[in-house]
Amino acid sequence: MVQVVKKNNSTLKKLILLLFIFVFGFISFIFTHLYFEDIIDSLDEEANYQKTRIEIGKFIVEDLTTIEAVFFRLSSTITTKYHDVLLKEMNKTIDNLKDALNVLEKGGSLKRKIKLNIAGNNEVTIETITLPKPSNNNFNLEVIDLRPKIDDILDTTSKLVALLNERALYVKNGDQDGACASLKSIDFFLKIAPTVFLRMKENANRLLYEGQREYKDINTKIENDKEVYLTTEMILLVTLFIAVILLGYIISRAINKDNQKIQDLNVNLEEKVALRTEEIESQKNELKDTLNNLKQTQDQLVESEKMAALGQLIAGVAHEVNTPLGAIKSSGSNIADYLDTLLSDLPKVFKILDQDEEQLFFKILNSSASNTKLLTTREERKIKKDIASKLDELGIEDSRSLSSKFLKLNVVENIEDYVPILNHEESDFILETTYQIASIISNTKNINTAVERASKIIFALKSFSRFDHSGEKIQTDIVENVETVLTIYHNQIKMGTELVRDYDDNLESMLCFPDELNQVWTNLIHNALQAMKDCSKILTVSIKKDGDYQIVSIGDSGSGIPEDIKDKIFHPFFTTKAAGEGSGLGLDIIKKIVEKHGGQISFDTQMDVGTTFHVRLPIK
Amino acid sequence: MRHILVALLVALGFSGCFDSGDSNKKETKVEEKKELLFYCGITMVKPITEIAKIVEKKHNCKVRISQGGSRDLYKSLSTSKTGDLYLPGSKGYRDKNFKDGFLTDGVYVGFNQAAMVVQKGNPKGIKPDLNELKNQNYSVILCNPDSGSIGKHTKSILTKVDRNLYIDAYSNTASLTTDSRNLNKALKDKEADVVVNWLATSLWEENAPYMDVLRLDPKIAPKKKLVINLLSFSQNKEIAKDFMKIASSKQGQEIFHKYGFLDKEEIGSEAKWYK
Repeated sequence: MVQVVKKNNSTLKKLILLLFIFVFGFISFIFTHLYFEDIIDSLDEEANYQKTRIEIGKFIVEDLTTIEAVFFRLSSTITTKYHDVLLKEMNKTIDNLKDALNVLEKGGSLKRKIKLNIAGNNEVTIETITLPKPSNNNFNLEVIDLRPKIDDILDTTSKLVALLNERALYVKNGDQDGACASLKSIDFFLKIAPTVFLRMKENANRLLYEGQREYKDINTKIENDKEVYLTTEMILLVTLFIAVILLGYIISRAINKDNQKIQDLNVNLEEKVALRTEEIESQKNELKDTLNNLKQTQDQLVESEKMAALGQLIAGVAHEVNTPLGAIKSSGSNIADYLDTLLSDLPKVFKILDQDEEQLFFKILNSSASNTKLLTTREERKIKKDIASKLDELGIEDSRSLSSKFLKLNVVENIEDYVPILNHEESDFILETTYQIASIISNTKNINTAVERASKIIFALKSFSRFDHSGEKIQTDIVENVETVLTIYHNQIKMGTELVRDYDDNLESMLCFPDELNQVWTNLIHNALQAMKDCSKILTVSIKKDGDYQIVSIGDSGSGIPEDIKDKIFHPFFTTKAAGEGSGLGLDIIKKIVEKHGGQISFDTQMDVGTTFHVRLPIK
Repeated sequence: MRHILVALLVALGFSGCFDSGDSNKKETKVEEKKELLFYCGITMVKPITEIAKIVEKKHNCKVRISQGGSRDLYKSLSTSKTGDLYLPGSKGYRDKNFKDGFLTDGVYVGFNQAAMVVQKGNPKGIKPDLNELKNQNYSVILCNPDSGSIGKHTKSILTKVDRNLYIDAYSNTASLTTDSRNLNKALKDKEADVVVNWLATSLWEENAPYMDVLRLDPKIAPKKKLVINLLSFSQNKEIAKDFMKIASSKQGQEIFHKYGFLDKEEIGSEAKWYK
């Protein structure tokens, strides 16, 4: 899986690279386009600049031509009255020329008025051309060359005017020789003077020539740059195309390779998944078996817990049953012994007794057969003493021995009524026989009592072990249910344990699983008894009604539950008992049984005071 | 993959930078170069241009040459107060204008000598005599004494011979030119039978096939020293001085000799400097 993720990352990186190349190529293309566009724009600007310079150069040439024309017109004037007009026109043109040179040098707008010599149209067209300020501080040779020559023109013009004025003066004065000499001077001057216009025109023409040459060069440059630009763009596009195709091919191959690997990995993965699924299925089955085993083990443990409790019960029950059986056996043996003697003695007794003595005989028997009150030793000694004293008063011998017999026969009152028997010559025989018969009666009573006790235990055992297979709750008397367990535990409880019952009078029968609740009470009582081994033993059993619930509380006067294990006592397999004494499942099972009934179990405990468990069960 | 990317970037970089050398970037570099302005009499433009190329290469600068008549050039430089060197057609311009303070250090680089120049083969049989300029049978074209150095020198030598010769000769001219180049042009265009010009220009290969030189007596037409002058307002004095050094060095002397401005014997001799 990690390998697949790595491959996916690698493929993603390649795709990102491809995208990056596309973007990079696109941006490069745009950048190159802008770059060359900028160059072309710059060259266009330069071309326009040169074009404008040429235009200005043409204006300058035009101005020079005008100035030269005015100059020669001036030279041809005979009278001086036109000089001012011509000089004004020349100065105006020279101003235009200066403006043109200023614009050429520093940039700016140049306005030229063009008179339209059209019939009916005297409008003046104003042509404006603008030259940007030169971007560098390069020398402007034309300006440097032309500007000083303006002074030459003015100077030359001044000289011409002076010569003309001189000639005019000679003419005016009628000085023919002076006029001729002056004319010769003017001719010579006019031979030399035009050179200044020639020089200026040469400079202006150079401006035009260089401007045109540069303009041509720039246009050539623009063409070349455009060609270079197109070539570069083509190279860029082809490079980009090839790079993208190449990279696309490499990346697609890599992706295919990765995909193949992923497919292989998928196949392997599927196989591994199948294998793993099989293993998981196997493990699941094993777990299922283990769970079943665990359940069985748990059931066995629960059963063991029950059996352990039952074993404890049985031990008590055995003892409980064994006691009445011993009494029955002993009583039976006594009866048998007495009967052996009595069968032969009894006829003799009736032979020696008269009718009154016979009635006394039966009276003694009835007294002995009546319920006797259990007496303490002291009481017995006192009664014996009273009887012996009475007998002594009646003058009966061997009063002490007789007093014991009368006590055994339960004849403790009206002793004088029995004097005839006591004075009978066979009184000892008669009393002995009476005592034997009374003993048989007494032993018979003992046997009955023992049988009743055994029956009670058997009944309780029967109630305890009753198991309802219907799986449904049945209406149960909760007191009877608790008492059943107490009966079973009677033997253990009676050994120095004070049992305190506290049952409400208004208790109701309730729907429950009585056999399971028996297990609850058994466990709680058993735990309570065990908790009171080394202290005063008070077992408190209370049943209270609380609304729709009845609360059974079983408390002991043991040492209490330590704080650190309070939270653990309901955990399965938690026990404080020595190994082998308990499974640790008792309270866990109880909790489950109570919860099964929709009830709750809780406890109060105080160290060295005791613990009381409260089982709160719904009545319905 | 990373190598492919790098290769692509390099390729794109190359393609992006590929141009004919006319990019703005390069233009900017040119603009950043120092620019020198030399005022050079038209006659000496050829050797000065050749030496300028050496200096441009050496100092990575641009030399622009304003060519024209020596007087005009001086007026231009004195008006604009811009530029670095001034090479008039004769030392006379330095001497005359030195007082203005615009011309400082100077160095001798060669000489000019005036001569009468006629059509190839001298078909009119013109003699090497300045008086021939008065002959109205010849088409005479001279340089304006108020513009070029040859004009000024022509006036000088004519006046030296005879004051009237100057007037007569100039009056006999078909036209006046502004400089030596136009004098040669007049001969080549068959407009002139005879001109007075700097001898050296007549020997150049583009002129020699069209004209012959009628040498004048050095007493009448002495050698006029060519002195390159450093301008006081030069912004690039170091380069300008180096130009002067190169021009006056053996290398420069050979160049001036090549164009007829220096005798062979003078090559290798120490140039004279003027302070």
